[in-house]
Amino acid sequence: MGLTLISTHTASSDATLDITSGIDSTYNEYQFYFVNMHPSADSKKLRMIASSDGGSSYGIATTTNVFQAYHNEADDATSLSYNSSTDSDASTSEITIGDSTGYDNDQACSGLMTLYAPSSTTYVKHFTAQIHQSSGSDYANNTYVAGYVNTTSAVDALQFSFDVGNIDLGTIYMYGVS
Amino acid sequence: MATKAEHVTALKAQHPSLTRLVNNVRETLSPSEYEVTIDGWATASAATDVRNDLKANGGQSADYASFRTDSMVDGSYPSIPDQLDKLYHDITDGKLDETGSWYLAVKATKDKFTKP
Repeated sequence: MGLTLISTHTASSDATLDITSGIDSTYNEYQFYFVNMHPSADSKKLRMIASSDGGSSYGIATTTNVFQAYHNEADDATSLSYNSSTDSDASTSEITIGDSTGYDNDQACSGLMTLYAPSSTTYVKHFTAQIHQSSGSDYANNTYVAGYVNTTSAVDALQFSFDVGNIDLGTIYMYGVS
Repeated sequence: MATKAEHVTALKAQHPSLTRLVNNVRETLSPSEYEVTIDGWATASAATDVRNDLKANGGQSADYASFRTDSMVDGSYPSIPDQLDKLYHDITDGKLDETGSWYLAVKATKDKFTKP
């Protein structure tokens, strides 16, 4: 398995970060590395939404499951649990891939999302994400998301954002896996 | 707890214009895109306010199950090991009824986060 860096995207006070180029049939698997995605407001969720028309429109029904592991700095709360308030059922709005991220100067979220066979015209588009947040309430919070974009059309663009406020700072590296 | 309209006002003051980064090219959102984005943020902020108020004070919610089972929420169900420990002590003390510690702990959660 080899990784090829396709593009690097660095947000700076942007409402959304859109990748509308390079997601095609070249690779059967694409990896998106999120490094220190920092929201402009406290305790915000990192989201993703897909497009099949190059980013002209977004909003393909997407279903996910979400579970989380967390542990706080005070060492009085730990959990491994399903998160029914964060999952999505055939949502045409943005879906959460990273839960509550703090906005203190030293807080952010980082992790990886994998998108499989985005150009398939036979299958729905599977993706998995594992994002770690230093949360607004000082938790080490690990969010695991898996789901599918429910279309047999090629997915060729993705948009990332926080549920409220700008992506104050943050870099996404897109790799093709061969 | 701010209303959605109050959030709109605050967000517009904080973000008089908005941009998006498309393939590393920064674009300013059109007036209509700006309004849609601010409306979405205000809706999410108002919903968060409601959820935070419920977390703190309890009450009726269609989402009651998520409050009851989210261990980040004060007043959610005790962990399974803690519940089993309560049951052990209740059995030992002959209190496997409505006076037992397990029953009272679970009841407190159900009473705080109620079904509509």
